[in-house]
Amino acid sequence: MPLPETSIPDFPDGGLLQPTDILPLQRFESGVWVDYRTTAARINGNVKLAVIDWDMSINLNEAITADTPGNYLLFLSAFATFEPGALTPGTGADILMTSPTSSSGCAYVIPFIAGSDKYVTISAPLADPTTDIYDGLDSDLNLNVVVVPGTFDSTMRIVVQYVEIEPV
Amino acid sequence: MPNRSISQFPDAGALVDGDVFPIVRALVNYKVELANMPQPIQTAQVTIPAAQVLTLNATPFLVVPAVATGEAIAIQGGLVEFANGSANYAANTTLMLISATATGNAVRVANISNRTLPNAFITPATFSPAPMKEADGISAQVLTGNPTTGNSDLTITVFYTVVNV
Repeated sequence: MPLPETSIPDFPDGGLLQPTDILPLQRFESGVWVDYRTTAARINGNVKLAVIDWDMSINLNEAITADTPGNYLLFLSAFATFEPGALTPGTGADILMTSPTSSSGCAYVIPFIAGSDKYVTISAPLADPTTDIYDGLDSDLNLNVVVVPGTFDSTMRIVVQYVEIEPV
Repeated sequence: MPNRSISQFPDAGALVDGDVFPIVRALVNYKVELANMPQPIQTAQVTIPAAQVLTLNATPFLVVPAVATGEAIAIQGGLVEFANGSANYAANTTLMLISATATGNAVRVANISNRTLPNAFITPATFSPAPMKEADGISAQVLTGNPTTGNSDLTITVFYTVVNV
């Protein structure tokens, strides 16, 4: 596929892929390749991505907010990577992800522990509906950690996959 | 690619096997085939009338029809919302997403005891989640027995991928 005079690496960085972004493709039809366009949503659904770089020496207080007020944010998955360089190897903590209006809001936890290796941590559900702890939905997903001063001295990259949903 | 804007290309509609996308890797142009990209996340949404919620243990409600032989559904997430109700469901309010053909544990669970609180399906923590099998669909069912009261319609939305097995 020949490209225009300007090569793609020269384009400005578009940041995170958005569901409405348009992408080119070609399809083999009747012996020839034909140009088409599609949207990122057709490739990965309406999944959105939030990338948060957290300075682990201070408390984490981040909110992922719906583009349209009133829409729900449905958490799908998350992972976090970091290279510890920790002051206190073996110290652990949890990233708590909450939906603010839920009376029992704490729904997911990303555990992590300091040490000497690079880590990938994956979120796990903390609550269970059978115990009447709801995973309530809201327009925000909040991520919080309270750290002990001097415990961590690295940067953690947290990647959260979620869907924004218009209520019925 | 000709000298016209990508947005001027005709809409491809549903993607098909063999579609190719341009990428640049280490400043070199490549094509990537659809089969080598992440599986698209699909959406299914159903509304279960209140009368059928009251029998939702005895009679599960189909949410995602069975996929083809050689395919299986992997649930990515989902939620349940409430409408048109004036009373909460009581008893047996654990809502499960289950295999449409196999008996066994839930794949995901949510709670329908509070009609003002839409909530997400999560992986069950107190019992082992069941796997999805080939050529299967997804149904909704409540755990243990039918709810005893309540009159809200339930709207269930499920996000899933179809994987080759």
